[in-house]
Amino acid sequence: MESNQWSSPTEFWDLPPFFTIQPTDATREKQLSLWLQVVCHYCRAQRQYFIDISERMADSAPFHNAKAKRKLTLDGLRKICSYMVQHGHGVWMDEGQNRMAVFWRKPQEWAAAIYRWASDSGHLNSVETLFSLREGDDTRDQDFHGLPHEILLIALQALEGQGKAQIFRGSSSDHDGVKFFSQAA
Amino acid sequence: MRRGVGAARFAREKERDTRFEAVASQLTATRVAQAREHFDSFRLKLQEFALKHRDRINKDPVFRQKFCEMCAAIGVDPLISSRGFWSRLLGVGNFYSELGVQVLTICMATRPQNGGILELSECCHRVRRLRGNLAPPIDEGDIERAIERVAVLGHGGITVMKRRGKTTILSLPDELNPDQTIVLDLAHEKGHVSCRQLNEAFAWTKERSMAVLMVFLREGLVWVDTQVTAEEGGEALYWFPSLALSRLEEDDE
Amino acid sequence: MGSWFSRCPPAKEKKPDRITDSDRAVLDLKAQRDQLQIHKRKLQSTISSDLSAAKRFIETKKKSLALLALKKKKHHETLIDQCDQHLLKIAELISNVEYAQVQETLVKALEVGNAAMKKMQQEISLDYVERLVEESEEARAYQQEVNAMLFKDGITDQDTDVLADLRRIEEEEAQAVIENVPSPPTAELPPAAQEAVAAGADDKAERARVEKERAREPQLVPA
Repeated sequence: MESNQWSSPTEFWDLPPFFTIQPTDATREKQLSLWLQVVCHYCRAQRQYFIDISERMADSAPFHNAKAKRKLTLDGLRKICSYMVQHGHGVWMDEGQNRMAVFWRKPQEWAAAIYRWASDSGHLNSVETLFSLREGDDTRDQDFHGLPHEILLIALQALEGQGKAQIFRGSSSDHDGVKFFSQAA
Repeated sequence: MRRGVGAARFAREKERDTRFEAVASQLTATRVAQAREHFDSFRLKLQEFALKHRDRINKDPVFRQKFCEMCAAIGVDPLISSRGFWSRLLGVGNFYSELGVQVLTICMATRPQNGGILELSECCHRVRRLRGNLAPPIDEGDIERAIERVAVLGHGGITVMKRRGKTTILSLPDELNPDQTIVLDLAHEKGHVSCRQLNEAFAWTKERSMAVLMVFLREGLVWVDTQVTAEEGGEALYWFPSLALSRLEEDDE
Repeated sequence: MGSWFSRCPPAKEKKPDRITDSDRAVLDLKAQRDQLQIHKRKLQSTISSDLSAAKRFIETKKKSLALLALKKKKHHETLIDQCDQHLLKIAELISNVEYAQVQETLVKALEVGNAAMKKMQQEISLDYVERLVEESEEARAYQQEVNAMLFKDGITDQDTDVLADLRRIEEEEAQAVIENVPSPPTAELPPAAQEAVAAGADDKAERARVEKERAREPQLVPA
């Protein structure tokens, strides 16, 4: 199975009640923060970037633990995702809140990693396509290689907010590009 | 100056008393000196011993325990005095107060997840991780002794509960009532309890069982599990995380 | 909490646009490069499927189909070659444009440097420099005068020797002149020439008088 090589960062994952959202406030808070760790850890290991509020999702790791014979309910899954969004480790992708982008690194961290790459590889004051950041040969050994377009865009918007980059479109194509600046405007 | 008969007699009596006192104090002084001599030589011996085995006392839990027993037998407590020459000599007094603080820290840190019930073995494991590999090794006995030291801090602090071959550290805000105590006692068996289990064990009514379980749930001592399969009883289980986790570890081993 | 995307379209207007036309041109070029890359990847995957198809046909003894598959593979391989050629060209173009951009900034930097130089030169006009030189010359002359005044007394004390020297040299010179003069004509001097000689004698007398006065001067000064 997909979770063969993955082991949970907390032993609570092996505990059956971990899969029931706890009614007591303090306990639930602790439980959700542990779930946040579990989800980030799992998604990072599997390079997974999205979580759907669906039965299929709830049936697969890390939301399903075959050994403990427990899985999360959809409601439980939604509560965990809401908690992650609340703590900056995710963002809803749709109005109906059925799909969440997981930030196992926060956008600011992605932004910093991308800017560091741009600076190290001489891409400051020059233009790059979002596609080549995601899938180009230049970024193959970078952690952000393979980042989905949506998350990459959020990270670059964070850079834009710091004045370290600007996202724009070409004149003849509708491809997104970004220009990195050596200093903030 | 006037001297009357009465006064002369009084003076004589006084003089006699003074002589007696002198003799007595001389006697006492000799005894005290002797005692002091004994004490000094004993202290010297103990000091020599402690110095000689200082490393072992600090590093070897079993040896440390023997040393503590020996000291206890002769009415000396090298551990409780944190400022005396013992601590300067051995660092032992500091050792236990430091360990006590570490145990308390862990109890506090894990309380949100276990409600203040911590298995001794898990505590020991966590203390070791907290102290790192470079610190001298400790065993469960050390932790119990450290808890005894901090327990004197007062009521409502931290206690040790021994049930069914397991030792559990309780750091609860309130003391457990008899019902709660026996439920916790029973939980040591499987790591969890249910209404039916309580009924079978103590012939309690559902209301009585639920009253105890709800308090536990509210206080964060137990986690509820509502996805219990039919073969597991199909009824909500109330898990004591620390007890259950230590059982899981044993299963794995 | 809504979705971020609804309110975050690319390129917010409130920030100053720092994108130039050439940036957009480079982006277009790079987007083309990406397209070629994607196309190449597609071709690569078709090649591997061609190959596996060919193997399958060979296993099932369908030789003609296998050949066809291999032909397809060959064709796709040439396409990949072409793709690579284009990629190379476009990469060259991109690097040229980017280099031109660098050059442009270089030229701009030169321009700025030049302008700064000019501005500084304007501030320092030739008139001003001339005046400065003049002023410093005046200052120097003044200084000399001051010096002269300060040291005048000292010099005049020892002056007699110097003046005597001067006189001697002048006399020698005069002697030389006289000696060099061609021997006088035997004829009488014309009256004009006689006058000139007399004037020369007057000159001498005059000079002696001045010297006498100068020698007296120091006695005046202390008073």
